[in-house]
Amino acid sequence: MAERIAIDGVDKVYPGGNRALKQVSLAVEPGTFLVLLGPSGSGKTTLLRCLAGIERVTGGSIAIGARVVAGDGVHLPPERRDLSMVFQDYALWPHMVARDNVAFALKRRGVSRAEGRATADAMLTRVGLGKLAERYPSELSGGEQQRVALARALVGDTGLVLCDEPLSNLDADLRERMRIEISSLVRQAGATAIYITHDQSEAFALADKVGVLEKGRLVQLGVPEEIYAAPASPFVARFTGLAGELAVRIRGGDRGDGTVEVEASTRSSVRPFRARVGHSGPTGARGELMIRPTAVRLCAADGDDHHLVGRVADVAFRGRGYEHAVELSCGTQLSNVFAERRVERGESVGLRLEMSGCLVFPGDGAATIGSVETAAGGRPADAPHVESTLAGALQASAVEEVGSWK
Amino acid sequence: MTILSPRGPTVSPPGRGGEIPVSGPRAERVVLGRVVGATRLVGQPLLWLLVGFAILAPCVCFLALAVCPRLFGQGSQWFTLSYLKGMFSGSVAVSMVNSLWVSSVAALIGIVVGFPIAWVLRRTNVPGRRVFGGAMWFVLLLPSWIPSLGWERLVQPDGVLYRIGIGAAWETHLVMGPFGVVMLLGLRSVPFAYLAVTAALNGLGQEFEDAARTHGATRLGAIRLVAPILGPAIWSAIAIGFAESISDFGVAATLAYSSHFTLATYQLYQSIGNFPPSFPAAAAMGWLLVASVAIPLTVQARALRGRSYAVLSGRTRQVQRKDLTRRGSALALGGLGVFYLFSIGVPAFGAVSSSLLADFGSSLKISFANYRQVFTSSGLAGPLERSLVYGIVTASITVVGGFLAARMLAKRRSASTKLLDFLLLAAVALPSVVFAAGYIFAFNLPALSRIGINIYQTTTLLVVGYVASSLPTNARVLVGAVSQVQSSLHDAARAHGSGALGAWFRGVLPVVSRPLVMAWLLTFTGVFLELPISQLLYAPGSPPASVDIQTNLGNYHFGVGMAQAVVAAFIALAAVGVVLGGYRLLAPTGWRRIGGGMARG
Amino acid sequence: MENGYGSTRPRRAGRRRVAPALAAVTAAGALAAAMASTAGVAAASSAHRSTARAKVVPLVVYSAQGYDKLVTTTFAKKYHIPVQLDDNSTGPLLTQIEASKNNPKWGLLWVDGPTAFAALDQQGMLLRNWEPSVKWNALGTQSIPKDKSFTPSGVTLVAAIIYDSTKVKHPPTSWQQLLSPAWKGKVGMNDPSQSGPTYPLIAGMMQYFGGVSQGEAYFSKLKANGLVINPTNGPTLAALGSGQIQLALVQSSAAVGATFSDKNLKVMYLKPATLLPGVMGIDSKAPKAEQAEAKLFEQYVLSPAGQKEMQFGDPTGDSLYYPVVQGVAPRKALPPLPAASVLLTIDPYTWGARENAVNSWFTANIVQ
Repeated sequence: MAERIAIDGVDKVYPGGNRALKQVSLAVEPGTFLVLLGPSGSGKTTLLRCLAGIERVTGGSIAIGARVVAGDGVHLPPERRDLSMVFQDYALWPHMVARDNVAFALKRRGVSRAEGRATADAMLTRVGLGKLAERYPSELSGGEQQRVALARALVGDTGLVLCDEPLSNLDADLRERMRIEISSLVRQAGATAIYITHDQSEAFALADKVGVLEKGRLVQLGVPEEIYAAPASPFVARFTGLAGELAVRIRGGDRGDGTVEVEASTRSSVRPFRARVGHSGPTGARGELMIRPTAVRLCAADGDDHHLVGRVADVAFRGRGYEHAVELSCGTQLSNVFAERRVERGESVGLRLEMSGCLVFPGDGAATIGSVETAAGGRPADAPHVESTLAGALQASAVEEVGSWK
Repeated sequence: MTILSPRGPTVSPPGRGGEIPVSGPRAERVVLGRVVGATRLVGQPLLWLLVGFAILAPCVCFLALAVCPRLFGQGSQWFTLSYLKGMFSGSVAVSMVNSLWVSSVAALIGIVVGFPIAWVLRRTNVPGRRVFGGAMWFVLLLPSWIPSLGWERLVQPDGVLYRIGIGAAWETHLVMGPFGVVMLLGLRSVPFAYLAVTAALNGLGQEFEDAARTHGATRLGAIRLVAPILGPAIWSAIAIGFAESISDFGVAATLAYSSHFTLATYQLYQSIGNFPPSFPAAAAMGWLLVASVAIPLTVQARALRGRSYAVLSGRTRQVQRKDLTRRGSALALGGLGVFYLFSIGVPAFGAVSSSLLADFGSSLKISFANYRQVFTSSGLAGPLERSLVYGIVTASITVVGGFLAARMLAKRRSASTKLLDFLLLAAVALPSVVFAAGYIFAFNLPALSRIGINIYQTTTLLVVGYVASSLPTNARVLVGAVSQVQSSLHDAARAHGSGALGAWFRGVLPVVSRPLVMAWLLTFTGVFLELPISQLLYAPGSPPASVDIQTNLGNYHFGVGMAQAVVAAFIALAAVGVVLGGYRLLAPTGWRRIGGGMARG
Repeated sequence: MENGYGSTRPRRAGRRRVAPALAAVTAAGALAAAMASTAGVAAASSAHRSTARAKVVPLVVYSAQGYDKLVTTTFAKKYHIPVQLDDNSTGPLLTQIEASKNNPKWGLLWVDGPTAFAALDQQGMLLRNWEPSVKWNALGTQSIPKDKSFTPSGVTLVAAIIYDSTKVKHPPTSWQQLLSPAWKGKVGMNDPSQSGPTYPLIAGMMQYFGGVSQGEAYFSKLKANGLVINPTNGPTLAALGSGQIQLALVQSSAAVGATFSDKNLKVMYLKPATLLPGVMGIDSKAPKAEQAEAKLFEQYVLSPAGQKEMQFGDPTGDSLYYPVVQGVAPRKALPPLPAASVLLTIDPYTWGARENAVNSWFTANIVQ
């Protein structure tokens, strides 16, 4: 019985004036795994806590299923919202063993003690902790504690599961394993899940949908591929993984397919190339180019198909190949540049840019649709987020190598 | 950190192999730092030495008399069990049983009332919480005989209530009986519970309650779920409430006596007060009191066994206060009001009014004659001044010792900390008169006089006695705050170049400054109004204020005595106000913010 | 974490066990020293206080008398002898004396009630066979013990009957009258376990009625007639003033003092009225020099100058006594001394020994 979540124009202002959420609106279909992505201070935790009922909203409304749980003078306390939550610090009660921690979540179902314990044991077995049911939290490792917390959240079969950065305290190797567990268990349970994180790779791996928050506003909402391929603003682009940014001159060549011809404003530029336009609206003479790591390839410095030249500043072995950090003459560094063979530090290389992974945004660095402040500093009364569609954004990335710079 | 010394900049901090200047203010700091460092090294043994001399020796000497009366010339036998046997029969046994159940109930009242108060003041935004939190210290600082006497003066047949026409027999019987005794002792235990729980609440992050609520617990259910995490604090509060109640003499001598409901401490005082006194019999009772402390400690050990309570982590989320609805606010304020009315308001009214009423007069004549006498009689100024000095010195020494002891108690439970815990609690359970008499036995030995050490009836011994009797409570009051100090604070300061002294000042002191000030004030006022030790140990010719007051209270100058008591109490409180005001003005803002949970409402 | 503030200096193993051991050793040492001292106390007693200094030894006075501050100050000034006054209630003073008896630090004790002195004398703690050379009156000679171990300084009477003349039109003429229904619930007295002067009152009554059990019978009947017990003079007199009782049995000095603030209160005596002397005694183990000073002090107290100080020092309390030396008149506020036939003296040695038992009986049967 997964629920549909409707968040409508939610504001949260803390006493003291801090506006943590600004007119956030989104809808989550039942059974969807939504990940809210953003840096610290972006309001994702606040939004989650408002959903949980631990915080009150200052404006707007939240509905879970058919019930309005917050807003319009209504505030349903957490225990009446029929949800469950996995906390960043696990929040296991230290004076209760693992089984009792999990069984507590069944109290609201009115099951008998024996039944509750049995169900809790079964859940713990599902998460792989069957033998540790009698342990106190302090006797469990971080990963084990997080699994107990997960079991607790799932055992009650609630329609909504909230996750507050549950993996951020775990070691790197454990994180990946736990991510898979969370993903599979939550989906098996069929609940709607809202998960917050600041790690974009985690978000992309888990999510059915990703919402990006910046300073209290929802700046983009869409499937991971859309967010990655067509970020709505430089902020979103930066936050979802860049090799680097370059200032470019826009030379026009707008063919109506969403691409333009640009040339890097640096002495390292060899020839111009085509890049996708990452925004709608008129394009000026200058722009910021956001370059995805997958869009940069190393090639020989003396070839004739590269767009930039640079010097290797660092090289890192990654098992399947090498990642290089290449420094351009203007000082800009492009990182995560992959090559199967190693290029030594200090060597000159050529860099070839793929159009699909290059996005150009207006020159003053401000995003257009979907950002908070317009260039003129005004605020739109109703700041909609960008719900980009895959079709429109990728249309222009047809594998059309532009040869206009020959 | 670059340090400028008279010789020019040096890069490494002193004491770490860098240049050490030999003169100038820097040198002094280095020396001080070395002293502080040395103190920390020898802190533990020093504390044990203090405990041994000042607490253990006198108590052991006194208690030894129960089986060995000949020891200090108090009997003819070198060994006898008759006194111990005699404790289990007759009125002594009755009074012991009374004390046991009264203290247990009082300790429970203390936590049952203190826990909600701590929660409301710490976790909600009830208005006036600062004032209420401060007033709790007032309840703690007040010696128990003042509220006791105040209640008595209020409800006794010729008391204030009767004089203003609303007296009734049931009121009198209610207060002047076991119920009144239990209520008063219970109210006295509340501040300990409040302090313990508040300190623990500081470290209890919000997420435990949040987790409970998101998984279906109501607000009250969440508190019930989370409360056991505060287990150690709660049990500590019960233990100290029990020990303080069972050793209390103020209520036993006034209210309980007038109610013909005897308590063990009163019997103990009687043994000593009869002439000739029977110290062995009193010592036997002392053994019973010390043994009784084992009860709460055992129950505590049972309750906490096998569980882990490690909740403090650096990532503990800041707690947000709950906004109370109007009804919630009214309820909370009402509850707080009732508590403070009973514990401060009523006794203050009774005490002050009986000092304002003319001594003998059948009408309600308010007269300041008593106060006039206090102020015109030149006798009180000297003792008051002396008491102030004694108070300041004692409080300063005790706070240092208490801090060291609290540090030991806050660490992991090894055998020696358990022993210290028991010793300190047992010391609380023994009435002050036992301490005082024990001091005479321990330090007035002929052997000492023969080698020229005559410290009995000197101010030195009096102050040592004050320190020893204040140390246990002081230590327990500080445990909560000290346990919150993370060693990493100190380490970080040192890693960034502070010397030992600087590291302590920068890393540790800010967190504990407020609790230290409060503990200092607690000891100060306790000494100021302390009686048994003052009576038995003061240096002839230099009486403290409390002795002077008692002499008047004991005979026909009752009204004057009460007026003196009120004046002394006011002076003590004025001193408290001065110290707190000074702290507020002088301490850096940051200090007052952290560690505020301990003292602030 | 184990090392508290992260001190990185390695701790010596076993340090933790050393420290508590230190404490235990200290305590054990104290006990051992005590035992050694007690064994050797006889040999050391006379030499323990340093007499190496030929200078003036201070006179340590333990006193519970209301006028002691004045008297000691004047004495010190007049004779240039430093006096250290331990001004306390009787109870703590006696506790101090008993607790320190293996190494006493006092020179002169001055409290009301000879029974305590009798007990001290029986333990050999008082200087015997000396009395100051004064002219005693009848009250004085009655109060001096055979072995002259203590000296009276003044006499009060117990019980003095103090009553509210507005309420009591017909004051009682005998103790038996107090048992009648007319006096039901109107009489109050102190608790002997709390109020020192009350035991001599009880002892005197017992002696008068023929013995302990006869006295117990009387007080039981009095209790049955609604006797009200308060701890000490203060609360008893307060009860009188507020009208809870109409007649109180208190020490004469307290009674007369009460009449100053309430003119309606009157004081009288019934037969018998027991003598309660204020008494001075000298520590037998004090150094000779201090004993000499104490003797001089006693002489001074009983001199006309000293008597004047005594009568001046606590005008609403202890100064209201009947003198024991000839040529000194009591303060005017005091009612005239009753005839000798009314007065009764109890032997402090006999009755002192019974004090604990009688007080316990009283607490169990009368106070409760």
